[in-house]
Amino acid sequence: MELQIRNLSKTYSNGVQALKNVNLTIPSGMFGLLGPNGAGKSSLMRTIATLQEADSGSITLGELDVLKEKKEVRKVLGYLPQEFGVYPKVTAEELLDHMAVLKGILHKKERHAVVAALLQQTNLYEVRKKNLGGYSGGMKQRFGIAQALLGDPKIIIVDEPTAGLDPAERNRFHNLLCEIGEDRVVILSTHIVSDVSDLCSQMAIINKGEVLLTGDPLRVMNDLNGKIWKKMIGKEELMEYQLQYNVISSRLFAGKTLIHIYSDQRPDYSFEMVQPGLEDVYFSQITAAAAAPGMNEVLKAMS
Amino acid sequence: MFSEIFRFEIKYRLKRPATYIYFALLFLMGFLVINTMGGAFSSATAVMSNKVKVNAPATLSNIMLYLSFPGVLIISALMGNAVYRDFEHRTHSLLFTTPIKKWEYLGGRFLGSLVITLLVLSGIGLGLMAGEIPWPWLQPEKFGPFNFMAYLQPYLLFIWPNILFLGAIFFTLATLTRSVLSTYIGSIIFLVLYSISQSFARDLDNQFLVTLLDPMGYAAMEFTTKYWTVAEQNNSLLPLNLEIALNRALWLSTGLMMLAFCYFRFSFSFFASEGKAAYKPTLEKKSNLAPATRFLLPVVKPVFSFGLSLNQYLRLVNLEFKGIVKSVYFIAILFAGLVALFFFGSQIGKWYDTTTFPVTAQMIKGLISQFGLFQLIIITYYAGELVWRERDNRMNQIYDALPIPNWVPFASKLSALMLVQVVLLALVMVCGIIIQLSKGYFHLEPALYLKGLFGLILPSLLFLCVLAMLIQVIVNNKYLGHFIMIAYYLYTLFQGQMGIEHNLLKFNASPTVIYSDMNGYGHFITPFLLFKIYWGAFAILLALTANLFWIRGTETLMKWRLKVARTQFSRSSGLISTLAILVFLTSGGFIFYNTNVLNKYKPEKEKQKAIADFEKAYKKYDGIPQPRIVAASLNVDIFPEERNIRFKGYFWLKNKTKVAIDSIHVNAFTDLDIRQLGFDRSYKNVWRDEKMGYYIYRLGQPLQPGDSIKLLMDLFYESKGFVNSNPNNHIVHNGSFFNSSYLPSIGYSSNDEISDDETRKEYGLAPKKSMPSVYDTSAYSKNMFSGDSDWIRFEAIVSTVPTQIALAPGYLQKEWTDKGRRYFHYKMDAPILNFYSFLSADYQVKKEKWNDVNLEIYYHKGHEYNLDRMMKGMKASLDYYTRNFGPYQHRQVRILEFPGYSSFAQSFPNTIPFSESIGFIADVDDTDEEDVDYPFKVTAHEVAHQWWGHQAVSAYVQGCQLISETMSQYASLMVMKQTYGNERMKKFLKYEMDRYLSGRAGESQKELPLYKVEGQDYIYYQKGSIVMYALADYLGEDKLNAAIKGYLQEVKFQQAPYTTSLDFLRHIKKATPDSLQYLVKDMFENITLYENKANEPTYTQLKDGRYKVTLTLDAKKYYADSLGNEKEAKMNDFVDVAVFTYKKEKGAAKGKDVPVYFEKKRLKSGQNKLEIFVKEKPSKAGIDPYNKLIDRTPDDNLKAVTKA
Repeated sequence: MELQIRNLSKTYSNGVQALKNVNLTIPSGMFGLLGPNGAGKSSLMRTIATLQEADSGSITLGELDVLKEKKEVRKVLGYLPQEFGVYPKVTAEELLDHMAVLKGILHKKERHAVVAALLQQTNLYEVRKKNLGGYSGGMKQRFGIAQALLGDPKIIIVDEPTAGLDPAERNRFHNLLCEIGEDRVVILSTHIVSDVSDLCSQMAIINKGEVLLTGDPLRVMNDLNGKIWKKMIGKEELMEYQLQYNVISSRLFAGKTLIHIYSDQRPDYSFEMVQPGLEDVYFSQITAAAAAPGMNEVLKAMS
Repeated sequence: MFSEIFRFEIKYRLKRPATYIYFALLFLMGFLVINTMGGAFSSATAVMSNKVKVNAPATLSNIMLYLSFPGVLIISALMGNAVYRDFEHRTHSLLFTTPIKKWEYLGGRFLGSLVITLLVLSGIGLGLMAGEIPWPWLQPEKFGPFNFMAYLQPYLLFIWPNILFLGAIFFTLATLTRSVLSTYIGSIIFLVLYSISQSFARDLDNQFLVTLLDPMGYAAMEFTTKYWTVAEQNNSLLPLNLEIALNRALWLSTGLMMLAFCYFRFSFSFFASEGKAAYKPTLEKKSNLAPATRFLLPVVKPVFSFGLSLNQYLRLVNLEFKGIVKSVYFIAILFAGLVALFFFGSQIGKWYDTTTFPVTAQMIKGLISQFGLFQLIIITYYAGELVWRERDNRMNQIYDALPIPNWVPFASKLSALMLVQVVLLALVMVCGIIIQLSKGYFHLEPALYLKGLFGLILPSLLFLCVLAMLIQVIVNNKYLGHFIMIAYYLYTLFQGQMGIEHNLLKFNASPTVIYSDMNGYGHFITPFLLFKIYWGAFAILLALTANLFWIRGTETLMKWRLKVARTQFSRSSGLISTLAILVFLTSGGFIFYNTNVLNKYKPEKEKQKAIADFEKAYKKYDGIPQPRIVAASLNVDIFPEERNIRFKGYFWLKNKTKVAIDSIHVNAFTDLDIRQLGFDRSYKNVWRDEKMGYYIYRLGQPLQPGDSIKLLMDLFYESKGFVNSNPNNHIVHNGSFFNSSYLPSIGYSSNDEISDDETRKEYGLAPKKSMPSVYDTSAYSKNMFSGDSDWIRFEAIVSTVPTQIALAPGYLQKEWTDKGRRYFHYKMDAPILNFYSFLSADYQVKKEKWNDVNLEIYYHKGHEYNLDRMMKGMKASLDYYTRNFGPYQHRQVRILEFPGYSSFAQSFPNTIPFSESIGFIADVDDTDEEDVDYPFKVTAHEVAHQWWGHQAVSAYVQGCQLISETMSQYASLMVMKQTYGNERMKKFLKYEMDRYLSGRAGESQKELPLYKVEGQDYIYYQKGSIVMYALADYLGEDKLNAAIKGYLQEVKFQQAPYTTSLDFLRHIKKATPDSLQYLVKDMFENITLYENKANEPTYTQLKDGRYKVTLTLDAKKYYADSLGNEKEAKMNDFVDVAVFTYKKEKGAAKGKDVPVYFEKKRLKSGQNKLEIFVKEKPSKAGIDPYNKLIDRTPDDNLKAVTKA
């Protein structure tokens, strides 16, 4: 099963163009959708999840036209939205059972077995009789994935699932996702680079509604081999370096600023080569797309 | 800080669209109301003119208060939100950590919102004001001059204080509970308080309590203005009287106390802020390790079938249903509703403070009218909750992506809402039965409950559910949805006035169904069901539409929703909608065929026009010499099953004029099929107007003076299909009752002419006196009952089905059965008025005798409750009347029960049809001093008509009802007094006083003195009662009766010219001493009002053990003109002055004030000082303690006496 997105565009009524001619091919396995806040990830995911209309373009899932055959798509869909609530006065088991019926699992024994298994797998079995109102963020998120997995979906969409989770919870969540992403399409959106590098075999970087890059994380990192350089500089020097080099990221490190720049050659001896991480890929794409025009203007003003 | 918060609040609110929407809605409502009343739709609908101006201060304050009821919702939305908003958006954590002070935060928010709410609510007044602008479509004569104070004052007295008080409550509730739900519950409490105060208001003794209890102040305003005459309503602003002031003070201080409470309880803390005292985090053992096992799930294969969808639907219905019935708000409404139900249950059927037996039909009617409002609230509120449930819980995205068919979520929610209605009605039924049992009434009729509640009430509720859901889905904004529903409810109240009368055009409408124990649901049920099928089909279409527009996903723009709707229109929805359209059109067509083709459909406006046209066409024949009916001989065949009647027979017409008559004008009821209408000698039908029912026959030989001619007739009244509204209730399956108005009359009759001058002007007719003047001797030739006859001989053979008894005036000559029909031959032995009735029903008969007079009651089986009271009434009446007025002209009195479609009893010669609803089921408690035995009272009144109306017959001029109705009322009061004593008359007279005073306040034309009354029942019944009762007291009952007897002897069975109230007054004045002549004049010839009042009386004990009571009495007398403008009159009148002492009989639970001094004293206008010596210790003293004189504040006449 493969998800094909062709020329997908969407403009909201307030004029924001959420998706600009998006083209993506998403094969089975974990697919990471990486982008900053407001990049259009959620718009894209909602559209795939049959919740939103597109102005133009098409999405196909195998033989299915996602935009038209919503009913069929929903039968094979598992969806965990970015933000969701639960009925606070219902227990996890009850709600999951209820949703199992809505997912089409009518047979009582089967349903109980599935619900129990899912609760086991998501480590919620011990608290299954507790009201959802008392769940912590991580537990709620795991409950969310449990409901998304009901009914053996062929395509699973999880939108920013690790936002707000503590490292331990995030780890557990990754393990869970990793397990399920074997034989189905799993689309994971996130703005955390390591989520993708840890989990995904394929990825896309999206910003301002446009796909900037797609591919295998390892390969796109390889493509940057020998082009990323780092240097420790003083805080006050950052502006200067930004004007002079293509600074893709800067962060504080032990009171100094560590910058990564993109350059085909070593700019000078003070720069050290680094093994590029996915983060460098991400930032090089984002800065290239977003900051470049602004930078040009600064340069013009300087000259 | 405070000013920053305050300014921010106002700025924030001014940016919210809701603020403007609320304002616009209120503005629009005000604008529409004034326009409707001001005649904007007068071309489409019949508007009665009214001397009270549309923009009269009293009218305006009334409208403003009414419109501020939906305003309560707005107040709760705006004020409840002021602080709650921070919890809702979770901004409280940001704000509460800033260094603002509590008072600044709360005060700023409260005042800011208050200012906005004040502005929004000003929409009502501004809308009304804008409506008052002389738009071209308004009728300027309906408006008085613009008066700004009339707008400002209701705001000052009611709306602003209400906003402050309600705002304080809603603000406090939402702020302290941090839940918006509490404001909803708060508004429900107001509603319940209001409706309880309304059900208390039925009892005059509770007036003060009622004015206090209603938190909105409406009851206080109503109390203040209820006796206001036209002039006062037009000119006076509301005074800040005791009732209004106390009410306002009470509730304003409640509001301020709430605010203070809010201030002290509120804290910026977070512990409470989460609003979950019971919040217990669920803990789990944490491990950072990946699950050891492979991720394996049991393999399931979801099966997507219709069976699954159905299962999902049922589960969701169950879930949504439970979600509603378990919610706090539902339980609160339900509880409130039940409280209201039980309050109402104790007041059921109250009339003159006397209840009826809790028969099932009454229970259903009463309980539903009480509970209906709560059901509307539940439908309105929960439609919004259901539609928004997933979104409110932020589960919508998960739900929407689930593989459930599109129809399942909507259908399950709609069904759950409908199911709630079923459950509520079942609850009403249980309440009804509990109330019945608790009152010791064991005749339970569960089947009738089921039919009445689930057959008649439920369908409308279900259709309403569909509408509410549709609105919520379409507007996609919960609060706007609520408001639109309320606007819709208001619209349904006004649609008739906007000219929308056909039930095919009014959503959910059907002809009214009236239940009668005698006739069951009768002929009402078929059209009702057809209309319900019609609207049911329409509701299905609405539901389908709502389903198509059901929001699934995150697209809310109409553009996308339309697109989605188009793609969702599946084959099955196509099939269902085709079927629904088919049913809708077929049933609609069939209904239309019945209402508009088989029957003539005439909107009120057209009916009015037809009357005007008739006058224009035939007024020219008014007063031309015509023969008069002198005998009627009829065969009347009643077909109860088919609801048809056949009249066959003849009238004898006699030329009583002095000229020969060459053509005879006959007026026939237009619904009759005229098979024969002609004469027994040669004639020619020269004019035939079937549309208006006017026929002119030229005789071959003119009818000479003194000669007679036979008018032969064969007329058939056939019920065809059904009509849009007001079906014929005279001819029914069981309990037919119709009178001689079905039969032809002779000559033009001016009785039906439009009397309202404004309406007449509209049709180009000259103004008219609604009744000839009492001094117009030319009008004395016609009596008040029929214009074309005097006294007639009467004979009738009435036939009906074998299971029923048919009745007519006269004595039964013979009874037989022929060809499956039952015949009764009645003949009257003495001349009667040309005014008779026919009845047919499955009767039980109770017979007794009084001297030589046969007393019979024909009643419906099961209605035995009050037969003895009626018998007693007949006997006591015959006894008193024969003694005091003269002999009874017949040998028989019969009371005949008829279905409660009308609530009256009417006296025909020896025959009294008596509605089942006014006495047959009354539950009179003889031990309760305040209960009025009205079965007895009504019987006495009707028997009195055998003298007053059937012996003394007034000419058709002003004051004619004085002779028939006032005198019957007087006669029955005397019989009541004789049987029950003076004490038990007090409550009854108190009601009569109240009804007279409120009657004159509601007068739309002009109030007249009693002797010139023109058909206003509050004058001839209520004022008549008070005046005659007082006169008997002032003159002495025997002396008055002697004068009355003298009058009756002079006029009874008189031919034209007929008597008038002038003759009556002549006799009364003759019997009145000079000193009281003024009284008779004041009572009958003037509109006289007193303003008597006792000021705090004191006493001192004298040495000889006696007490000296010092009384200062204020006395004032006014004469009012026809519009209620008053002029003070000089007073030197006899008025009762009394001193009471408190006495407790041995063994009695309660003591009573009994008079120790009671005398008529001449009192002058102004202050009168009196010293009275009594032997016993005085408890109360005052002026006119029994309210014999008409006084608008009767309660200040008697005061407690204190020691000096």
